Amino acid sequence: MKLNIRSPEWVKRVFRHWSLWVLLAIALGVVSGNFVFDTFIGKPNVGIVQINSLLYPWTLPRIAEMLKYVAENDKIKAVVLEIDSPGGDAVSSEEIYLEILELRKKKPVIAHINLVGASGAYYVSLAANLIYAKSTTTLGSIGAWVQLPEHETMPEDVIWTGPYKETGSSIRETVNRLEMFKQNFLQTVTSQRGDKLKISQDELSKAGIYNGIESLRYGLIDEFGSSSQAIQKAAELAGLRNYGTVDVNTELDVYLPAWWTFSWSAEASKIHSNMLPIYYYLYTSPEAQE
Amino acid sequence: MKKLIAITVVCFIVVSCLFVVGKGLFFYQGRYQPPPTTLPNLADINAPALAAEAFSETPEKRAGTVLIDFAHDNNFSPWELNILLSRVVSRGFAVEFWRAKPEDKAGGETRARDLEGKLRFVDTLIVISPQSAFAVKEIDLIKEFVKKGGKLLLVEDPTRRPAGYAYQRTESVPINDIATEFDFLFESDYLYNLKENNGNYRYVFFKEFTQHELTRGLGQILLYSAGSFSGSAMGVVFTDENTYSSKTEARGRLSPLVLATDSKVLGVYDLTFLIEPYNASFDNNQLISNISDWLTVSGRTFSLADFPYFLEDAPVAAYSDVSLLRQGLEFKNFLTDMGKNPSVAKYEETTSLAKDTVYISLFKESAKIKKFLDSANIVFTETNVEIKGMGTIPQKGLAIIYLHREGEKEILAVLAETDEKLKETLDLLKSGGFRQWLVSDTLAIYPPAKEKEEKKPEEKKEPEKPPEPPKPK
Repeated sequence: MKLNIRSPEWVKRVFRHWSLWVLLAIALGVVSGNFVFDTFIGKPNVGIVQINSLLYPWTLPRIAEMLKYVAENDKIKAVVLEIDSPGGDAVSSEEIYLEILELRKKKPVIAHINLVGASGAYYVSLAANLIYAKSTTTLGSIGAWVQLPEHETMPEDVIWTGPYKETGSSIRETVNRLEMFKQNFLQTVTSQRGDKLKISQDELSKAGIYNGIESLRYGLIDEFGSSSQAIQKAAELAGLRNYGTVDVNTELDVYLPAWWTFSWSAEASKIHSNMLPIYYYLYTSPEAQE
Repeated sequence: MKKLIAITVVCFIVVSCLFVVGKGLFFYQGRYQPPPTTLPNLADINAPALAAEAFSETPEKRAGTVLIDFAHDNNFSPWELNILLSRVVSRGFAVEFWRAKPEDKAGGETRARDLEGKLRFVDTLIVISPQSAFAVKEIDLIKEFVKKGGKLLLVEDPTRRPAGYAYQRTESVPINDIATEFDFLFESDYLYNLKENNGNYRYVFFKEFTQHELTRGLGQILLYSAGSFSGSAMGVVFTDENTYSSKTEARGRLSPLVLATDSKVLGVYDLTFLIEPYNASFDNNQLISNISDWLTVSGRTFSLADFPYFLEDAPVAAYSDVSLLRQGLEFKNFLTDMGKNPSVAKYEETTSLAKDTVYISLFKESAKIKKFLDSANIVFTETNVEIKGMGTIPQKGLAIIYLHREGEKEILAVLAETDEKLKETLDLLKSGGFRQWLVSDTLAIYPPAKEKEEKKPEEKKEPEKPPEPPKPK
């Protein structure tokens, strides 16, 4: 008997055929599974944060914004910090360091140092799970410096309630505080690098600069590697098999001026009055200071 | 039908789950295990206590003058020397700064002449971080000064040198232009100690000392920006085995304080410890006092050219005859202007006095001081004067100035043939012009007018003005 396909009987027979139901279920299952995965799990990414500027109070909010973004974005499962900086002031360096330490509790962070990762920039790198660099990278300068306060003045028309209200402290006390900053830096290196460190505290306290080869030998870095190797390692630590990458600077429209475009003295003058001592984790050459 | 719907739903759920798991496995292979976070123990971070050692002293009083070079763009402020200078002054010494005059900028010639005048009356010269070069003549004068027993303190500080490459390019290091004359050299380094320091690698302790008056009572000193010396000078203070020179990056027995030329020249390669509050650390104050003692113990000898500075306070202008009283009084006034406290008396009244004496006489009265003249082998005959080594000189138109030292007493004899010549000679003595007629350290012979005419065109030397009188001792 020939059935009319528009007849109810034909429809019943079709819907009674189990294979069609299964096919439909699979199709819907795929769509639904994909939706559920993308909505609740998502395709993992490795976030790339470029820190190529001086670490100063006016670059700090932008860097912090990027770190907050990668910390809160569930799709970013690992972070690579592309570092290229000679450091900055001690407070900004420490702030970034602490933010990265917090981030590291949630997601693996790899610091990949390019041209230079000195002083405050190396301090920041210490918070990462691993530090990557190249054999030709410039690293180190583990120490601090401060411009000493000028001698107290005694103007006729201003009076303070205490002798250090103007200058903050005596020169000798400023030097003592600088020593504490140095010890803090050294202890941070020791606590973060642990047994990997193969260089004496005395040698480190010289605040010398090392190339990548020396840095690896002394345990200041973990491995040589390119940027993509650092990304791969970050993904591995995060347990990713396949992943995408997110350029966080582009994503958030953060463009930090490269450190070599800064004039040291101009920058310093923004935060440094002749009286107030600012402590720096910054590697500068004497020419730059002039 | 119900069964079919149930199968379909189960199938949907299973497929959905499988897809999620499958996709998950495609992207993920494990979970991130964060490492433990170790933070530095901030309680372990310490800085050295700021200890200021109390210091007091009762110095012995002496007399003399310290001259401080401020004529070579010296890189220090007089304020910074307050501690050292207060110690020097408390020992009875006068302090004078030698400042460059505007015309000195053109060259070292006028400056050298100025220095020559200053060095006639000072016991000690201090040169701190000069930035402009010394003229050859100035260096010769300083060498001569040290040869005559004057003390020389050379101070440099690594923080006062021109910075960076500018320093390396410097053709001449002014302080070394002098130091090398005394066989030592300020190195272009600084000293540091990473193991044992006072809060900074540059703040270096020194505990090893040579037995010397400069190191009396020292247990430990702290230098804040020390450098090292090389050369054959005697080290006074030495580094320990953990102190390095920044130049050689090597340890060694380095010294930031050296003595040279029979302990008449002291090199100090750190200015900072002389400045407040750094002077109060450990035994630094004691070292500053020892340096002050060294500066104010004078072994300075004077020659006739140093007139009138070799005359102690309250000299006597002694005239041989009452006809010379007027000249004696005029000379007394000159000595008063020079800060002395002179008196005038007839020669016979002065022989028993222990005071320095300027004896004014005509040749015919020279017998009164014969014993002094004999010691210089100066013999007056009827018409001539015989001087050993110079032969016989006619008395006519002649004048002689002779300095005789008898124990602690200085006797200056001014003798001439006539009243006019004596007046002329005394004027020459006052103006300093007598120095061109010096024939030895103790004798000047002022020839007759004819000989002067012959000599003058060759020498064209302007008569020297006497330098500013020093503060009264």
